[in-house]
Amino acid sequence: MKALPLVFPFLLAALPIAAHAEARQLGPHVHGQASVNIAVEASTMDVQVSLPGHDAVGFEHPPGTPAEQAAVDKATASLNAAAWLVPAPAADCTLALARVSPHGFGGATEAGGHADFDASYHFTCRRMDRLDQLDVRLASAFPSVAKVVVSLITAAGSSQQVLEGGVSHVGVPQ
Amino acid sequence: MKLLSLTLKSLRQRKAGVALTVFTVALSVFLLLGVERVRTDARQGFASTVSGTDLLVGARSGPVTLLLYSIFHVGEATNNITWKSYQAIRAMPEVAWTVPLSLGDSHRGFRVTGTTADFFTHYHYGRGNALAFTSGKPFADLYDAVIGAEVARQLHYKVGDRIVLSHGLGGPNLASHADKPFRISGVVAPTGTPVDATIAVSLEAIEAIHVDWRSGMRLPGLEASADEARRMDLTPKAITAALVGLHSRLSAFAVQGAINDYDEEPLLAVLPGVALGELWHLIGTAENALRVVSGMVLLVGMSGMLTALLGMLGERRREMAVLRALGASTRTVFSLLVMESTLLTIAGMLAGVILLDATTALAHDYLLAVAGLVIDETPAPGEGVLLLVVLALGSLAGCIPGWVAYRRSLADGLQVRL
Ligand SMILES: [Zn+2]
Repeated sequence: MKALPLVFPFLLAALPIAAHAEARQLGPHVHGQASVNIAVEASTMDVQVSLPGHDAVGFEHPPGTPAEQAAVDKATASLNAAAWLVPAPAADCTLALARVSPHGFGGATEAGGHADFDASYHFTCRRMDRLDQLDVRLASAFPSVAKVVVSLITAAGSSQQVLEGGVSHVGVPQ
Repeated sequence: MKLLSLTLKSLRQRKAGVALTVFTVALSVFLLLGVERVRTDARQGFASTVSGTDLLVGARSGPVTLLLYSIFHVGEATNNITWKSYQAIRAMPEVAWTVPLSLGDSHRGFRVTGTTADFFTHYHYGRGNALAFTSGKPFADLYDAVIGAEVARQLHYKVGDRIVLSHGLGGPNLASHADKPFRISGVVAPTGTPVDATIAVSLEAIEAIHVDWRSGMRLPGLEASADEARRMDLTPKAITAALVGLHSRLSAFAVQGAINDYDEEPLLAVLPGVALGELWHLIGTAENALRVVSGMVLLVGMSGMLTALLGMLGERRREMAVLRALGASTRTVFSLLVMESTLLTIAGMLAGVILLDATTALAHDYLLAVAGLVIDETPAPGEGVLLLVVLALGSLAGCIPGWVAYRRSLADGLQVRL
């Protein structure tokens, strides 16, 4: 029996976008739309983000000028700092790990011609029972993001919230 | 305080009218809160049709299509997924358990689900409720079937009864699996989920009844008797969908991605809560309709109270005149009527809440059994706000007769002086 290879979501965006892209949980590559996946268990909160290159830096090709390179570095640093995500202060969460991987900005253009920024974070929260809300400020960190699709998995099950029009509040079902 | 005792005394003089008014308010509060409770509970119940399952896996379609067909047994049938793919998912290190679901047959309008006995331990609903048996136990023999509460209620079946499954969904040209009858081994307690209207048999049983079938027809000359089928290889070739539980929720998105990217077969893994939310969103207009209805009900109740208060005002002209003669100001007269409507509203609210609590306590089991509706006995979150709105409207309604009485006593006062 062949076991499935475990593909991490931040690698998925690098794969060619198939005709069935809508089935992929990261969603199709839509400019202006970012997706955030949040899973909570015990004292751990894992967060994954996919942000179209168009919205992170304004272009989706290997940076050709120093200005473009600076934009990629700036977006990477901004995502790495994770300031766009503010868990409820009462939950006492600390960022334990952040990993940002830009795709499609390297030498060869990726299939599909798109480029994304993917980031994954690992938080440790001392009072997870008090994590009743999160502030997802991707739209203010990256102004061309018009819509953020937030998927949540907690002990209360899975849910999805779509943030539009300046809304950044995400309720966490308990 | 003096105003309050005055109001109470005045109300005591008009017991019948007052009782009727309180009853009108009580009834509208009962309906308003009742609708709100049903609305929240229906949504809550719906959103937790499947709980404790991390992923629902089926053939690539859409999340709502997959959910509708595999869990709610309605809508367009999705493709099957191969047994091999199912085994591959089962073998993933992150996967703790899987429950296969195989649809396609029916019995007198109820869907038959082929599954494993794990279904009865892993399928949860609501806030992590497991399935319970009213009588009997999960299927053990190849030709055992477990029926839901609704099936048992409508068809008057009990443990030990024999039933025959039909191929497909029935209809006039019903092809039956009469050669392989099933024995009911258990009845599942009401859940308010589609399980109530389901007949569950083992996956092997689904294979066994189709062992001598090809493309929807029984093959002549190839018939295998019920006992012969027992000795055949009953490994399924395909299933409709699978419920998947993970060791850790943290791997849910990664496993979902891996399944959606499985290159040997186009599969779809959905987060049940997300798909249920999407589906509720589609049918959410019904929810808004309910809200509009309860708003109307409140308006009707309030205008009922207003009519009663205004109607009583005519006969109370003398009462007001006496009050004025005793030195009450016109403002006191106004306050008196506002106080009156506020008191009536509070009394009506109390009566309505008591009525609702009594009804939900009494009807809880009946509603679950008959309508599949789980009504929570605890108040819905929006009820406090609604009650405040009722109170405000009630006091506001008192201003109208208050104003009329105020104007009148001004006029009456003038007349006296003349
Ligand atoms: Zn059949």
